[in-house]
Amino acid sequence: MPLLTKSVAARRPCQRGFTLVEAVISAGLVGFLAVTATFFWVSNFTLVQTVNNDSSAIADGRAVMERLAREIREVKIGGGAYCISTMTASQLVFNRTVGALLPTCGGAAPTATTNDYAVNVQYTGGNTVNLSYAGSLAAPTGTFPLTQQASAFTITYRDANYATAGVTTTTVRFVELNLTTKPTGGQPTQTRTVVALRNE
Amino acid sequence: MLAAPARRTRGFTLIETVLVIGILGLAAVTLKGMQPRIFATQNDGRDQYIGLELVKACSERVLAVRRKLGYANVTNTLCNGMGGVGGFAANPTIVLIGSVNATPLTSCSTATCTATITIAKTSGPAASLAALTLQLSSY
Repeated sequence: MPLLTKSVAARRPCQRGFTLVEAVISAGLVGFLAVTATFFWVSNFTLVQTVNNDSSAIADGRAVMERLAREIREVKIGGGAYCISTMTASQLVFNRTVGALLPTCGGAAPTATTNDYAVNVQYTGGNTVNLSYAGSLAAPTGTFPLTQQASAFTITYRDANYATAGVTTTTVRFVELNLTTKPTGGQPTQTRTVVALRNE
Repeated sequence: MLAAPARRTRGFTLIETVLVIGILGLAAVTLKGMQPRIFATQNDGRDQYIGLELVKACSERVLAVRRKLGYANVTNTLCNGMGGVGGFAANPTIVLIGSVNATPLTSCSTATCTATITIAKTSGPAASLAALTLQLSSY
């Protein structure tokens, strides 16, 4: 059977298997590809995490600004029922008085005799901007941290001409909030909101 | 007759292997190239928010000036210096259009005045921001 003999002879070289060198080279190539693929995979995870963290900090900042602007809009200047008792770069306190207007504001810790409540916006460094309510008429009372991702917060007070020099609790017309949020290891985002006080 | 199966088991040629590796590499590079778009989308959202807040701040000023100092005190340079945050210009632009004709004014001087406030991004990619338009009346 010359045909069978020829066929077996032709197939034998194909069945000889891989040499050691071929096997080592292919294992090395597969390993290289696996490492490269893993790098892409891990970098995608890191990317998604970074984007999520940054989004969270930006959303946090938005919520803080919106909340504070709504609170500060209540302020009545020029001896109104909502008077400012403290205005510094890191703290704004205003009081609501009930009934007859009181000659002075109650401050951050109003007593029962002043019979009012205090709204206290304060940043003491760190990553928290605090909003506190105090006083006999405040419900609830306590300190509420608005964010855990702040890295800077300043309050600027401006008069009717938008000047910052010599602004007092009776000449203030604009409250400017500057907030920087920053997730751990992420990018800082600075935002600014201006509230015009109008309840004169 | 049996020569055909023997031909099929010869394996890939070098050129075929190189082609396949090249195609895989192209796919990987394409996927990698799409990564920055995730950042771009997020940054665009952030810039829209920061820019909108600056435009809103300018509108607070314009409305407060109209209310307190009078309609004629609204000028097109009122918001200068109110920007300068997050890569935005220092001066938001106010275009004042009177009710008589469409020529931009430097201050409101007719019965009604329309203020259109915009702010440009001066560093980084431009933000896709819509202008904020306020209708001011001298009541």
